[in-house]
Amino acid sequence: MADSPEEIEAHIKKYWMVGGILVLGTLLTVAVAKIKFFDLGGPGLTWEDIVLGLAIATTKTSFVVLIFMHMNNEKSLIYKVLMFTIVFVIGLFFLSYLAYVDPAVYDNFWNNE
Amino acid sequence: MEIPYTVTAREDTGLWNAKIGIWLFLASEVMLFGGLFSGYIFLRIGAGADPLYHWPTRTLQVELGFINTLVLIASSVTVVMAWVSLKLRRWNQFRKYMFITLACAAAFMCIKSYEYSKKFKHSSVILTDGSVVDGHIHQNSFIYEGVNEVSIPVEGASLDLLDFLEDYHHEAHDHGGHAAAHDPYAQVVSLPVKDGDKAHGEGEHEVVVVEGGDEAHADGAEHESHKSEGDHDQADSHSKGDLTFTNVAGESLNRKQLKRYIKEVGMMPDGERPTSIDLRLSHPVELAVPPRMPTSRDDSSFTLRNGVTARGRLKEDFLDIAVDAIDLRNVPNQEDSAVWQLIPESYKTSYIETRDERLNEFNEEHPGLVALEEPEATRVALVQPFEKKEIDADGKEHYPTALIPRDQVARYSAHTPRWNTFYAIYFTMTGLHGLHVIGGAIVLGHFLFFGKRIYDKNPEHLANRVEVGGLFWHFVDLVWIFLFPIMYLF
Repeated sequence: MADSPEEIEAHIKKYWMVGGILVLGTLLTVAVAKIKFFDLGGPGLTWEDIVLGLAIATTKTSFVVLIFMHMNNEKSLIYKVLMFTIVFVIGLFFLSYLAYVDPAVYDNFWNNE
Repeated sequence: MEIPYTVTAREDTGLWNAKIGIWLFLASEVMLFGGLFSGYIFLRIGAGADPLYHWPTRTLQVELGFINTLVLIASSVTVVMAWVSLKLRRWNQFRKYMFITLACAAAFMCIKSYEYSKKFKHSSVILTDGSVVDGHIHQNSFIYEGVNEVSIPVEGASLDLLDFLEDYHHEAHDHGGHAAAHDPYAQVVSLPVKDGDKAHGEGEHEVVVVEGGDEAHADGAEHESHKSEGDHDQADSHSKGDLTFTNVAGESLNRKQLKRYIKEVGMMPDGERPTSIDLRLSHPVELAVPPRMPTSRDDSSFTLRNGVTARGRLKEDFLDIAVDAIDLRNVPNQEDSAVWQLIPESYKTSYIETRDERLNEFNEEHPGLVALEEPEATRVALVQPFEKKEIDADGKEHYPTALIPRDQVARYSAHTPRWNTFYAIYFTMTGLHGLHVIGGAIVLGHFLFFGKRIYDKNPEHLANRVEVGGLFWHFVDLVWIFLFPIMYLF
């Protein structure tokens, strides 16, 4: 994280650029959803569309976390705290995957809206 | 004692207190919203199990969600710039950026409030044949005419009935000018107070004549009428103190005394105490009874939750809705939908033409697929908005009105969390996110309006506080970055 005024001054332009990137990312997200050309896989919502949409969202999130939240240069204790969080979040969403592959569940997820 | 490490970092971790604290807090917030996102996934997967439940897609206004996303992104940039301004010791610049951040938060909440209010006012009605009618419900009450007898249970009696008569008297359309139905303060004459099967004769118990309005008319003459909606509002604005009551002895009773009378009856000894006080209205009234109010009803009476029963005749029992869209995905043969009996024929013709056009278009674009087996194609073809083609007497355009008989209604609701699981999770997640926006705005506002004192004492201290506040704000932005595509676009 930048400490001295000179370092902070040098980052101002980067903050505005990231803001612009986030705006462009949002425009891209809407375009992907609305324009037929970007409709991947079959018609309607398919797993390809979901992956693309979430990939754009994750990229935007990464910019916010790394630049705005200064995670690109943080102390190791913070990384260790967040590592636990990431493990638990992955475990949480793994439950959703287990529900999907559970044969007792109506097995037609990707063919429905 | 000065708390250590509020500004300078600890030697072992290299962090000052609030920095480690806010990251621990954000870690817990990740789990909170992660749990809700996980819940969303389960609900979405589970929706596929019911072929009659179509997960609502493209229901929300993408434009408003898009604007809200831009607003939050802008606020993220300005909160960082506010922190930068403090680090560079530029106080006025800090105030400017922080003010813009708060303005963005306010704009976000205003847009969110507008979206919510639109949803609360918009309703869907599922007919018994599976047709879904969307629009704004104008009238959804049972209309009882000729209500001339009410029965108040002595146990737990209250004057709710009188409130009820005031609130729900119905404007009778077939009465010109002065109308008894307009008069909410019906003159009530007594019936003998009954004790189980044994009816006491009149005069054996003090009975109560209930009148109301500005002047009490013992002879039952009509009061000044309330002719229009405005007058109806005026009627509603009459306070409880405006009601006057006259007993058979000609003594004036106020509302409190009438209540005491009812209580006195309730305190009569067992064996003498009647189970109910029966009242007859000298002016039969027409009542519009909201469907949620009666616990039981039939063609000649209804009973409220407090046990009060009113007797009359069921005149109308339908749901009046201005239709702005229909969804016939659950109707095997759309031409036979019950909706077409309720709205002009031209809408059916237009609907069928559009449906066929869109299905053909899909089949041409995707030769190997069957349109009616594809959810998106089905939605586009069978869920159609209506245009405002009806012209009223004032020349204004409006949607067609459908009077749906109650026996054709399977289910209805405004677009609130109870309507379906989509709205349940939508309101839960965006509502919780909105609360976080408000909380974050309060904290940042505190720094803006009350931070000068800390800044003058130790500017780096305020800079650290704004930094942790900004970290929370960025997290709120992150959540929205995922919420927007999931709720609005997927």
